[in-house]
Amino acid sequence: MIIGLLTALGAMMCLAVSQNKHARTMFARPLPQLVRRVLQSLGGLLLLVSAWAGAQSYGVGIGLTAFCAWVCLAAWMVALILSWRQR
Amino acid sequence: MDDDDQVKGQEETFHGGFRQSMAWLHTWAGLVLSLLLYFVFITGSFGYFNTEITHWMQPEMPHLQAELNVAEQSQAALDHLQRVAPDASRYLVRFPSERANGAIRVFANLKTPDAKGARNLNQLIDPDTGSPIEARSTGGGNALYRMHYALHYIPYQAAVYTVGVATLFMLLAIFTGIVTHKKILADFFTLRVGKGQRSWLDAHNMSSVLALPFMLMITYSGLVFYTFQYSPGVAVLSLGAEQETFRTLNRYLYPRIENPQATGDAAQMVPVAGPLETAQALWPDARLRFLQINHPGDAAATLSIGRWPEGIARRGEILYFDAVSGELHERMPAQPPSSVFASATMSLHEGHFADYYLRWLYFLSGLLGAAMIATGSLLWAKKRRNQYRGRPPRSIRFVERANLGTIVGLPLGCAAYFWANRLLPVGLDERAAWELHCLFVVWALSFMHAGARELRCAWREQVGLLAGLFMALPLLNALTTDVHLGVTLGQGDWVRAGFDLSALVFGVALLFVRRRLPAPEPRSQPIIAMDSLPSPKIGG
Amino acid sequence: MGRRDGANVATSYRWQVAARCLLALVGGVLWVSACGAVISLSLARLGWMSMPEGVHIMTLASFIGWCALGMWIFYAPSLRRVTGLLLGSGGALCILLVVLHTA
Repeated sequence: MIIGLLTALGAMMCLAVSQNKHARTMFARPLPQLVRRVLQSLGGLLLLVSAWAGAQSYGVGIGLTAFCAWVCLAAWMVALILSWRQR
Repeated sequence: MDDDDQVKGQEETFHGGFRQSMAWLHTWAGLVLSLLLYFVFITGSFGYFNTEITHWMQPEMPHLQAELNVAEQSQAALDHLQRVAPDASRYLVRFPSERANGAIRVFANLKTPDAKGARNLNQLIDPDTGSPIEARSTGGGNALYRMHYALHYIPYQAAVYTVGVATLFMLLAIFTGIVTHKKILADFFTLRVGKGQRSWLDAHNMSSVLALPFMLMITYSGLVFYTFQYSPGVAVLSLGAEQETFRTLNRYLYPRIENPQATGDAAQMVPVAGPLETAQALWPDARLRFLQINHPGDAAATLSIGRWPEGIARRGEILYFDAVSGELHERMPAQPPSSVFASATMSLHEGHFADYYLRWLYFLSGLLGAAMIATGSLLWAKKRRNQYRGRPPRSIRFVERANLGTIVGLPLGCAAYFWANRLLPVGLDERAAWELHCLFVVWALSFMHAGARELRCAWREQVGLLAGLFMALPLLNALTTDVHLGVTLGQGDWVRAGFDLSALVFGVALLFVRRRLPAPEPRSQPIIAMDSLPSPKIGG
Repeated sequence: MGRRDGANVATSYRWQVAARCLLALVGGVLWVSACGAVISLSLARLGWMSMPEGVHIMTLASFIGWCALGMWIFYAPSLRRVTGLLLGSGGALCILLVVLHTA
């Protein structure tokens, strides 16, 4: 259960820093194209893992519901971290 | 919604681009009933914890941890019912859910009203002793939950249709919001703090985009609950407008086994242990939900046993027995595919399947919905305020005040509801109704206060009061009851302790919000409220 | 907001908004209902779906349909065109309904 949230958080982190403007916030410079691609794929993969973890612990119907909630919560956390870094 | 799209001339709305006209529609479809929708979201979010709130609001209720021995306990409950309500047309025994306290609810439809004129009997009994538990009368969490679709003080049908129209507008606002938002993916994680209007827009976008699946689901499924009331057109035009048509339609979509009429001949009923054994053999791991006897003591008596639903299903299976012979009747008929879909949608809305982890996520998503509406409404006022130098028109000032009176006023009312539960005399007549009166009186006072005070002052004062009321709730609980944190934590009564602790956390969080609110303007300067409301941290 | 002066523009704008609201609220609901009824009746005629089931599905879809129609009503630049198309297609749907009910 907690795995689902953590993987969603990881996925959101990867997807966020693969965007140039957020990479600038986190690392003060944009990442190279290759690293961005890798991060994007990793983020997508982690999202799949998170959805799979949801389906594993709750069954498909409830699992996907849980997955949506995890992604929402994780994205909020990432956005708050980014806006906190920005200050 | 994008703020650049709004500022162009009104009259161009219908001759401008797609995005511009959709932004217009988003603004107005959203704004018109936004305050009602905020009410629906806040009370509905509380509804996810209805059982827990009720448990907190009835401090007399013991913290029961009895093991369920269904056969023994249901026979004891039925014996109790036969003793206190011998002349009844229906007995219902409801077993506690995993969330609820261990008490068993017994219910009887009386054939003749009792001394107080009541047509039914509704008690909670202690499964260990079999005797009824007396607890204070309260609306509990269910009163809050019920208000999110049935409102209060107005007739049920009128309320349901009002909420329905608001829900339809919200669905329209969501769709137009999606097509208007220029950079959903690019702005996915963007929350710029301390940038005035821009920050409010970010907060509005974040609360809606990130929770978009939830928003779409909760809004659409809200309409599905009253499918044929809200959209009778298709059925009327293809099947006719008679009441009977709708009844037949509903029976087809949600088939159930009809109970036979009473014969009037007395008969001896079998003990429930036999049917319960059959049920447990058919559902080895199931948790039972209820046991019901129709026409007890009659030759046509039926016994039905229901289980909690599995997975995302909304209704658990029910077994029907002949209560005289103990024979199992036919099983429940299957639903057609369209109603399986509708049931699943409604089940997602209610979230009965959710464990505490998911339940909190539901609750937070609900609050996010409220935040989306609140930020949208604040954004509307702020954007228009920025377009006027000097004194803005009355409509804008009204929306600003109404925003405060609702966004903070309604939670103030809810806090007052909890306070009233502890402070009103236990023996008061119509006590449950008075608790709700307190909610609405405090809400109305908040409106008046918002209208009377300088706006920034009013914001600070109301948020401060709200923080204080929530933080003091555990203290009030300790002063007025013996189920305060010191006791509940020791007992492992996590439901009551959780309520107190959550109130404390909310209070502290609100205190932080209050610290970030701007200081009131000195008297001599013109009042430019809203302009420097704090940039949001968590959506509102 | 719109500072282009002239009361005419403001008045005609108000009429535009009022007319479109009316069209969306009344016309939109009726049109979606008629469309749903025609589809569910046709599906039942073709034997693809039972009548109550078709009605249920079309009713469930009508909420989305109404939103889509409402968005178009507020988007389409010419009010006359919106009214014409809505009335024209609505009339055709009504004729179809009568045909499906009687034939």
